[in-house]
Amino acid sequence: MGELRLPGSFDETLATLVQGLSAGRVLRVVNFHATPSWRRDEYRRQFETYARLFAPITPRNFGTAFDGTWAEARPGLMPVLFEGFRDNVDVMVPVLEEFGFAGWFFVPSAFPAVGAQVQRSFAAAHMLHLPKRDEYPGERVVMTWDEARDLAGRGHGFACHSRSHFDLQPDTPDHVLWDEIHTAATEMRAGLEQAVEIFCWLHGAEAGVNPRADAMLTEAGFRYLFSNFKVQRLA
Amino acid sequence: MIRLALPPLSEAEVEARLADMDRLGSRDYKEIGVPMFLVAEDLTEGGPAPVARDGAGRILALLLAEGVEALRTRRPDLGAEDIARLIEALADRHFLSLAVPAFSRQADLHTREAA
Repeated sequence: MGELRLPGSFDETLATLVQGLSAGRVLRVVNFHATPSWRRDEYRRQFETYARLFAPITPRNFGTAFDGTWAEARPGLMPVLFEGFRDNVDVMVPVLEEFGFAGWFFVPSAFPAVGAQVQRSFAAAHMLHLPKRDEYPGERVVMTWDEARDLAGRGHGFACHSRSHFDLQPDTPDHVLWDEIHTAATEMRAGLEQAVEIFCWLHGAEAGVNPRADAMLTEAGFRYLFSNFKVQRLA
Repeated sequence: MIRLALPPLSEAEVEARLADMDRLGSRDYKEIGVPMFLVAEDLTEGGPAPVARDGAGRILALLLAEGVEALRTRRPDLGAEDIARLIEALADRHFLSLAVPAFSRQADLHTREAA
């Protein structure tokens, strides 16, 4: 799971979580990473079940899922797919679309542009864990920006997962923050041809872990920060 | 206001919950879907209105607080990883059950009376 950081003490974090939960400020997500084809039936059975109980959280209604104006009788569900792996497009998207859900792709912005022959090496160096069985030998393992734009056009959501899959520290220097936030925002905008409003760090640091990063996220146009335990509205 | 205090979890139940957290934590996260509950927090002016209005959030809050107290009896120095494991276990157990509609609202369980 990696090293998780809290902005304050354990008890302070627990208090905010208990208060938030008891007020009903709850978002339901299912976190995925790689989605290899040999698990397709497993994913399909799960979304068949989810479809009976939940309504999809999409880019169009995300704001209402967050702010309490959610209008559906069923609670919302947000399938989150981390890293931008190619098998998300090939395996999971058809399952999501069969059952009417929107996927939310949290992509390190530098990853799609890495050359196919370097992607596995890049992944290994940046804690981007590919599945045990390589289903694309000799080929790319990351979604292309063309595919990402197509998914966005079909109603799926995107978030910026930093530039290099970065693990935020309290003392991360400003020039690194700039690359992981501003450059990443620019790459996401160029790749998708639209801005993204959601950001998420590797290991899910929340606001307060590095206040300079928080300010820079807002400056770069991000409105929401996804973390281990929270979705925080920044602007 | 009525003030109630629940009895502490039995040793056996604490053991069972810890074992369940260990079982969940040993899975291969690279390829599986993991349900989680996230708390919505508005850091701008004014907090968001409640999202769940059916008491589900209060159930989760109570279970989380209870889980932390139980875990503290075994290990006083809890950290962020423990919160993650506790919420993951809560989601594993309650993600589906807390989304089931109320009995009276499940139309296929009831005969519609003629108007």
